[in-house]
Amino acid sequence: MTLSFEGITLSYGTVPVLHDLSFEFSDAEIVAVVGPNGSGKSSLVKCLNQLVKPQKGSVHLDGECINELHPREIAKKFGYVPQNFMDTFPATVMDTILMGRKPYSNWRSAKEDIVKVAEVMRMLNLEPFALRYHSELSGGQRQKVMIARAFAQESKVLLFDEPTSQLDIKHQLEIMDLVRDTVRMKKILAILVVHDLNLASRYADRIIMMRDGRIQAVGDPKDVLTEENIKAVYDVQSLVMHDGGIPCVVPKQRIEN
Amino acid sequence: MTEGSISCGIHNESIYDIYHKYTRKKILFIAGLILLIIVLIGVAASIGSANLPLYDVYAALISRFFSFGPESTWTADVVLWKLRFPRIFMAIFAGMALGITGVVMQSVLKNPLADPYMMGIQSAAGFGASLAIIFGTGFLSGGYLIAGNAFLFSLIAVGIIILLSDMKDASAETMILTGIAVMFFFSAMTTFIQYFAEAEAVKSAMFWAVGDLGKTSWDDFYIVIPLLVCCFLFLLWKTWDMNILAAGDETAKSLGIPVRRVRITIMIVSSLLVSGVVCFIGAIGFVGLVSPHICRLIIGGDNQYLLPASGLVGAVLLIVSDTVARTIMSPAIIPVGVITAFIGVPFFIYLIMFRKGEFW
Repeated sequence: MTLSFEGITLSYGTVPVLHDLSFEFSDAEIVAVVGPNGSGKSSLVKCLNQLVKPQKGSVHLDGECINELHPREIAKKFGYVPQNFMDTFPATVMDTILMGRKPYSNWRSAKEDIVKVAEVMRMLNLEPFALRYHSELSGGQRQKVMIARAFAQESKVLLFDEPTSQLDIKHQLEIMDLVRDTVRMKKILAILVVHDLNLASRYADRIIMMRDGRIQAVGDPKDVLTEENIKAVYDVQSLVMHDGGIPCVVPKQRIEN
Repeated sequence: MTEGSISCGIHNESIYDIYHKYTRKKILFIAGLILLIIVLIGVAASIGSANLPLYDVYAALISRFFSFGPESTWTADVVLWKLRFPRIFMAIFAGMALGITGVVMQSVLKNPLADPYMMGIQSAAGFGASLAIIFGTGFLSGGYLIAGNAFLFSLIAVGIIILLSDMKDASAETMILTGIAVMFFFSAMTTFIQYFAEAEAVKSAMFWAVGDLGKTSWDDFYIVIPLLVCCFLFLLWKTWDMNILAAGDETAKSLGIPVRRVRITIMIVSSLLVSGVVCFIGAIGFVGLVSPHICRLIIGGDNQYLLPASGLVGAVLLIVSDTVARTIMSPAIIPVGVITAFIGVPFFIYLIMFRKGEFW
């Protein structure tokens, strides 16, 4: 499976967000997209499954151009875990995860959809919560439900928009372990927008570092997470240490310009 | 919460069985409502200035639809078929239409306060009716002058809301804000033309605007029933989309729903449904707002079951309100729109103050 994007250019109104970006992902890897607020990381990821339509550029999955496809077809190929989930009305965990089966059926869920959802719930230990309301769960559990829904989509690519931003360190690691295990087991591609550089460094196979809508650096975490890159992108003086080959970033002070 | 007790038995049963049991509970609730409505038809039809025994009511119903069955008395037949059944059946269908539209608008607009009233449909219908009553002109003539005008203007209101919000982003927020603007516009227009009209005409226009089931004639059902059936089936088919739309536009898009098109289609169909009813009986508030909330408290938020359940609860509310309206100050008949507000407001406040858990 190959995913690539080419010449992605995006602006919201007159504000340019992404400048002519191209990249090629490889099989079964975890790619973290990092960068300061407003650098365009979330927008880039949303361009991949056309949640945001770029003005220019194309996305290709296995040689097929994604831009022209019906949303339903895109949803079969890309699972998406949003940053926040809206609970206007109560929905049970089961019903929430079942939404992931929507691209495959039209009117209502069939028995096989429920079987698939049950399988995902067992995998993520969500069974005891099946009929609880999603809004009643803790932050970590809620995030797991969102991931379960994306798993139920059975897509080849999983997109995450800051999946761990509202979780404590234990749950951050739990969610990231889950992502890593799934990627390895199912040979899928996971692309994550992450703020926490240390989490990116520990789990990602490759890191895309962005600055002002451009890709500043790409590659192995230890090549990307350097004191120079962090200074250039974040305007922050930092100390990068190494824990068994994994870079650990300690921010020290910001640079006034 | 009963869900908690079900989830305890998780180790012995498969998720499928548990889910099946959970949905069966909802279906039972819906079946219970249908039974309740059948009982209410009998009770409502037997109460009135001339009290009839329950037996006569059902006898009259059965003998009309089947060749067999008991013979009903002539007086009972006249009282029932001329006076009581039309308004009782209209209460059922109008209540359904309002309850269904309430669910649809609340989930598609992601707002627990959304209902046909807030979207300006009823005030536009009121304006159309006022035009017909005060100036005697309209797009249709004869018996359908007022209803036709009311229907047309409620469609104009929907058209304005859809067009304006589509020009921007077709988001729920834009639709709600334009809906409220349209509502105030048509209310002001109604007041404006009433200001210059004869006192008698103003009075009857005012009376039209307060929903009243006494206006119902049997011919109305030729329009109301097919409209209700078609719109209900379409909306039922779209309930899964509605569930997902309520989870946010971005989520819905990522799950393969063309959000903009689906939201607009559903809004048009549900507005059509409610306009088709309002144009015959006038504006009835609170049913569309309260019925979905009552049902959500009992069977949860899945629209597939919520939609029919809320329609049936709407029917129940309207039959009860209309029976109260007919009998409480008999021989005077109070418009049902007044009673739904009298019953609905305290009930709604009760729900807000004493509801358990986070429901909306």
